[in-house]
Amino acid sequence: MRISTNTLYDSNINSMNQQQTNLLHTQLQVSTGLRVMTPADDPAAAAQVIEVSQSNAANTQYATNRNAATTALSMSEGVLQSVTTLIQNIQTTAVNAGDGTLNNSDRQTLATTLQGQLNQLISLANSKDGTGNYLFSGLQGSTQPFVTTASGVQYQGDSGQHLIQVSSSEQMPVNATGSDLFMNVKNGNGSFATAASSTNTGSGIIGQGGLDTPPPTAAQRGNSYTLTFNVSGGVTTYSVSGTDPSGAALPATSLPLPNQPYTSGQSISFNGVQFNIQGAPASGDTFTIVPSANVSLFQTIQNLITTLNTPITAGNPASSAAFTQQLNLASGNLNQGLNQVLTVRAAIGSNLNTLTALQSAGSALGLQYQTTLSQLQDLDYTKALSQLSQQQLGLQAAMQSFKTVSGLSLFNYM
Amino acid sequence: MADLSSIGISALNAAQAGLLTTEHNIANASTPGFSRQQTVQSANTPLLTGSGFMGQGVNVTTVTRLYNQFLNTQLLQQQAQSSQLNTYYTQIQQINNVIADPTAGISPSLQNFFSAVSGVANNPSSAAARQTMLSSAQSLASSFQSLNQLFTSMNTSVNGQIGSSVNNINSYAQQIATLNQNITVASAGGNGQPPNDLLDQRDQLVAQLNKEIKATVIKQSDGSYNVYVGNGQSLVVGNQAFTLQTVTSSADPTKVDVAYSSGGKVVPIQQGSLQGGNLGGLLAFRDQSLTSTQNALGELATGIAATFNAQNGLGQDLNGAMGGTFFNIGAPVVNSNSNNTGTAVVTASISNAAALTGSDYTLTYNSANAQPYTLTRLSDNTVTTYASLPQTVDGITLSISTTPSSGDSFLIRPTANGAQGLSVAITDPSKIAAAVPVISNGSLNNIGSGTISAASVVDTPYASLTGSATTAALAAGQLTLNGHGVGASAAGSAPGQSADSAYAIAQAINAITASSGVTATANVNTVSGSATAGSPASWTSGIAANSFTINGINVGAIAAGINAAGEGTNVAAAINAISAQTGVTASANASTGALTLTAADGRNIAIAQASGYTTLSSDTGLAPGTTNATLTLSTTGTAGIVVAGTAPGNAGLTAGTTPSTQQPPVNANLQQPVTITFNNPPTTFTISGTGTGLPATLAYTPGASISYNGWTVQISGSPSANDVFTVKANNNASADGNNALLMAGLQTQNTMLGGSVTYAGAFAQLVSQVGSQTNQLQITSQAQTNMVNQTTQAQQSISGVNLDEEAANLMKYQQAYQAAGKAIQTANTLFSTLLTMLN
Repeated sequence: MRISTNTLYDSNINSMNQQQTNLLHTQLQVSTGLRVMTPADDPAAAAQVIEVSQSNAANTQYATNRNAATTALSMSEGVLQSVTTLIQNIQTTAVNAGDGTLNNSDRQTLATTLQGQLNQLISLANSKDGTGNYLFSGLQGSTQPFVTTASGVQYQGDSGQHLIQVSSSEQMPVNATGSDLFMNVKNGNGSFATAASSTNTGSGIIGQGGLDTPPPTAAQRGNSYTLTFNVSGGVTTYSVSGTDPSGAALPATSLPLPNQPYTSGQSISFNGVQFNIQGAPASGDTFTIVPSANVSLFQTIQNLITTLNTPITAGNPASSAAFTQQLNLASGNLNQGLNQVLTVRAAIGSNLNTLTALQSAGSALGLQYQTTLSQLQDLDYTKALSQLSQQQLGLQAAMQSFKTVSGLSLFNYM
Repeated sequence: MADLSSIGISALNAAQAGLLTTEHNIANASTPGFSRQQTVQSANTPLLTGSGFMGQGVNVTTVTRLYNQFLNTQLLQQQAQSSQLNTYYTQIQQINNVIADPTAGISPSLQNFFSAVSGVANNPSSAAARQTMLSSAQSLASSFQSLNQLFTSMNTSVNGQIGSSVNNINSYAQQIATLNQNITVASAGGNGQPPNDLLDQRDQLVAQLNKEIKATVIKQSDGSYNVYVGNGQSLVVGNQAFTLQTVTSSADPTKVDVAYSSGGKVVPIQQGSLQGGNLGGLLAFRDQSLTSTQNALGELATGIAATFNAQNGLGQDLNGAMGGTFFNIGAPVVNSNSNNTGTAVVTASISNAAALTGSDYTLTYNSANAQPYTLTRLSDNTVTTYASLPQTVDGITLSISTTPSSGDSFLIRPTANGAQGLSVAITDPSKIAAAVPVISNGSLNNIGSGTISAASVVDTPYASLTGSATTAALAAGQLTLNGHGVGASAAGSAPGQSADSAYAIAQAINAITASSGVTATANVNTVSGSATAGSPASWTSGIAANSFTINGINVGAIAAGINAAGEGTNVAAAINAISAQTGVTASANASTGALTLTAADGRNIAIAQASGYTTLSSDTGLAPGTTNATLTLSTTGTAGIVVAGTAPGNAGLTAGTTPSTQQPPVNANLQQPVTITFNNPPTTFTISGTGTGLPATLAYTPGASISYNGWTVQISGSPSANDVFTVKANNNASADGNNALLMAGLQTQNTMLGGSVTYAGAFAQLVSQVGSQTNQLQITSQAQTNMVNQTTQAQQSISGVNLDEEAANLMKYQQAYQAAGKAIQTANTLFSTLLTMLN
């Protein structure tokens, strides 16, 4: 084929241009470290990079969120640890108060100690976090959760949960609400509460009791019972009456037969409830068994203080029995209160454990995203550098050969 | 001897012509468009002598240029295509280089923004966290704006480049016309000898013209070129040139169009017909890439703003007020065509961001048509016609101020302004609606173990409609919902659930809910009897058993009543006695005795008298006959509800469209206090409080959703009798970031492009689209350039000058010249010899 002189030059220039473009591209890749510098370099990878880096950013955000959650949970846990110790101290005080050698003024001293401990508990329950929000007021961060009023300590917060997104699929509550911690404490044994009538004259004391085997049926649950004693001819008997949740009297057919013989300390059980009564109840004395209701921990302590401040009349068995009865009730309620706090602490602990587990899973995922991102857009240096030197060589060869070829001319020989 | 020297002289002349041509070739070796020339020489007519024909020397018949018409035409076409691709590539590369900027682009701004939203969710009472969220929202908005700014300035630049390309075209056309004239004159004056260099110049101009626009050349018999562009608009005819010019587009004032100027009139050209060359590349880039990329970016901005606003609107701000608009959304652009004769103004508003398509639309009005409004979606040229406006299509609601003149048209660009118009609507950090507006609480006095979940604000249906009573059984195809055919309705197993009942038709509709997105509810069927007038016989003698039937079941004997109220009560009791079979319950008005029959599941209520009994109406106030219930359709889809089919009336529906609303208004009673009280036994509960449609008593299912007043809660566990749960306004909730949590969740939710991808996914699609287009253009323009180079080589191999060849020719003609000289010398010597002999 005929070659025009212009073609000789033009095609060489085109080829060198092309090689220089490629060389520059490789050089830019090497200097940025990126294989995909603009979406056109690899449109599919560029799109994936956006999605993966979005996921990676979200994953990083979850890690930040987990730190926030850990801080919040640890803060609550710290306060609740103090609350636990405090409740245990109060329990010790309550046990001390049962010491038969104490006189009225000793008990009043204990009452003063308890009052101090109650104040301490209220102040712990009103703790704030690092940013000035109350820890245990639900979602009402700036509302003081526990306020002492004439009718006792009232809860002003709500039961709202502050959720934090700790992983792509899990939202974790990071607050414990005051209602769960201190207010929703079941009294008695958690199923039912026993009490002696304040007008009792005998020395009978009813125990906390517990659920019998089998437990109450669905129809029996929620029933309240009253035991009325009768002493006639030196024989003490009791009869049981009861009402259902709506207040209607239970028929005799669903109650024990009247005039059951009484033996002090012997277990009494019917309709799935079981308890004992000790001492010598007088004729007409009554004891009640009602379903557990919520009594706040503060109310329990306040009641205990009132009990300790109430003098025991020497030689009056009823007075002494009433004291023991109240003390039993208080220690049962304190136990329930402690359990409540421990349950919440267990939940916090388990959440903290979950966070630790999620943290390592999150790190692994982050590493995975980084690897994917790197695979998608980063440069294989070995390949790129060998490509660079190859392209350099190609360009040099083109230049050299161009010089040689363009130097050939017939005119040189004329 | 004379012959001898004249042959020598002819040879001398021929060699000289050859030398001249060779030198001309050498001189023009680098002249663009030059074709090498050759002398064509031939032997002179021989002289017949007695000894035969004697040669008479040589003469040069012409000088030709070496030129291949076929290759040249091929080269022109390839050059036009190559210029178009190169220009397109150069332009789109600018978008490609910035769109996926990993440090300052949309993608990192989006990540920063959601990180800040999470910050508010984690610490909702922190003013600093809220301020950070506002600032990062602003920087998100400005990253959209700055990318959009690039598109706007590229549009301006493209307009300018179109202008200069048009100027070049006009200049080339003028020069070609002038050369046409010169060539015609030269050819005529030169006895048909070709004016080679003028021809080369003209071909070169045609080649340059093709770099600007694809031009068709037709050679005329007089040697002149006629040049046509576009759809056959003549640019050059003989020695006359016509001009193109740029005009502001009548449809869109931000664009320039290319128009044809003829006889003082400006005639618009269909822009799509201007192919090839720089101009073709610019127009293709603007219409195929720039506009659609800008629209897609706007669609993304609008989508983000709309979904975020919707979630913010469901929340409550730090001041206790319901959330408002968080982002301002760029309003759709509507341009009235500058040629419109009417005064109508079209307004477009975004009703549903998720349904947007990113396309532009043209609305035209032609009063001659039964449906005079024609809407064309420009991305795929889908045409829809309407009898009237307003209409909602693809998430856009179009309305018009008055009836336009026939032939008026409007360009609607729903998302063109989306990126530019994105801005943060609030400046007060406390206005971020981070909290959920309602809170659920269990009473502190609750005895049972029941717990209530956090209240969540629910979406109300995006569209709903209630039809009239059903009239007939539905056959397959008689009703289509959103384009999906509803199958035939089948009778249920109980009396009254016949195939024409709302109950049966609702079941048929719900069978295809998965595809249509539409849910049907058969409404409660109610028949109201009238109060009985006078003192019918039934008051004294009652009604005999089996006198009438309800849904085909005989009603038992009815005792006499002392008056209307007493008789009504007796009839109701008799009907209720068989309600387990009929599904129909009855109640009587306490004073008038008027009966109300109710079928809760929407089945038919058929009342029929037994033969021989004709006084049902006067006895009970009930009229014999069958009453069908109505249906309510609802959807949470973005398509709304489109009812069609051959007989939608069977289901009590009329054909038509109920559009979907993007952000349904929040229930007015949302924050009203509502109390849920468990009854004794706690298997049911009672809902009381302020609100519409609060039912009195409901059965308790642990974990089931309880939804009223726009919120939903679940109660689980074992509540005891008299336990109370409340749902009320979330007051003082400074530490509530649960709505911010939902906002942060939007980052990973598929809300874009009809609910198929996340924000980042939608952006990734845009990036990959731009990337692929650029990548493809890079490859095709390179391939086309290579093709042009190949063809140029082929063309040059014929027409190009090879200096070595010319050097050889130089030597050849030099030697020929020398030889001719020698021949003349020889002739001279011979002549001298003869003279010497004569002396």
